[in-house]
Amino acid sequence: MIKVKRKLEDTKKIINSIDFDAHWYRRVFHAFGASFLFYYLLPNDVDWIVFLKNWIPLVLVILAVILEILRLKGKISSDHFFGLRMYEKNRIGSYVFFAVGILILLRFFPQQIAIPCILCASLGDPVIGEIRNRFEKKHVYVFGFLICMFFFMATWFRADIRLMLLVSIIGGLGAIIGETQKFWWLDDDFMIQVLPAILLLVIWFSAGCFGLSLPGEIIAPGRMPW
Amino acid sequence: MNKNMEYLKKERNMSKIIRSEIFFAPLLIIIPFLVGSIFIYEWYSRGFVTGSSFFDVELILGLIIIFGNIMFDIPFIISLRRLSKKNLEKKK
Repeated sequence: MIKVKRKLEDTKKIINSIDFDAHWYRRVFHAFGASFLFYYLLPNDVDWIVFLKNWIPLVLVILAVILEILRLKGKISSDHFFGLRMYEKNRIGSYVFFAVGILILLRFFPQQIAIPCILCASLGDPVIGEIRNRFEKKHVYVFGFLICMFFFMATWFRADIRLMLLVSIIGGLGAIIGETQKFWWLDDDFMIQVLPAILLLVIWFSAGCFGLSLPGEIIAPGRMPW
Repeated sequence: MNKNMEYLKKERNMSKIIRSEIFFAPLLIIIPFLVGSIFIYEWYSRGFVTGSSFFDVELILGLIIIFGNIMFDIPFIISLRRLSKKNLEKKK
């Protein structure tokens, strides 16, 4: 009886430590997403690299979707997925939404829009999460908006100042709305990057009508040393 | 704490889960640092050396990636160390 009690206590201790760990694990996983910006540094004039650029992100997302389908169908136990939240037990995991969002941005949006949106999802989202854990709700909106706005300003600083301000405000607002609006069927990890991207796409296509010139590419593709 | 924000807790496969986390940890920490460094190197070799300001964004992005990740890596590593200490105490 004493042995069973001790074992139960030990298990409880481990579960508590895992609880804490999963929190930071998710944060680090999010921040890791910024590494996907490497995509834009890869050369565009080498056939095999272009081939890999086109297919690797798609294959990774398809693999994640297949894994999630198998988990939801019960073919793979949720025990193998670390850091899942309670609400993700019977729903597609946030990491799939995160990956699909990044894939859509990389493939269908100009890099001028995709880069700050990916930064909002990968770095803005975990910072907003930490603010939410420590401060009041109003601080989440204010600081979240300022952080996301900073990512747009840092990447659009070469653009016309009026356009940079417009993009930063609309982008920051879109990101914070995407982050704070929760839906069961659509994750904020998807919304925080795709909602500002769609808003900015409208500005992108209408900027010419207002006499504003669009900036060139933010990241110049690298060159092979041979 | 909001119930929805709680994590799935498992009593089975605990060691497997902890191992998977520790296995992924170096990747999650090293890759962003490497990518950030490549961005800074690109700025240095194509921008700073040639005196072109066109590559300044690479420097900004490199710094954002590195510092953004360090901000979360430190508490993550501390939590991992705490976890391994707890496990050591348990073994004793």
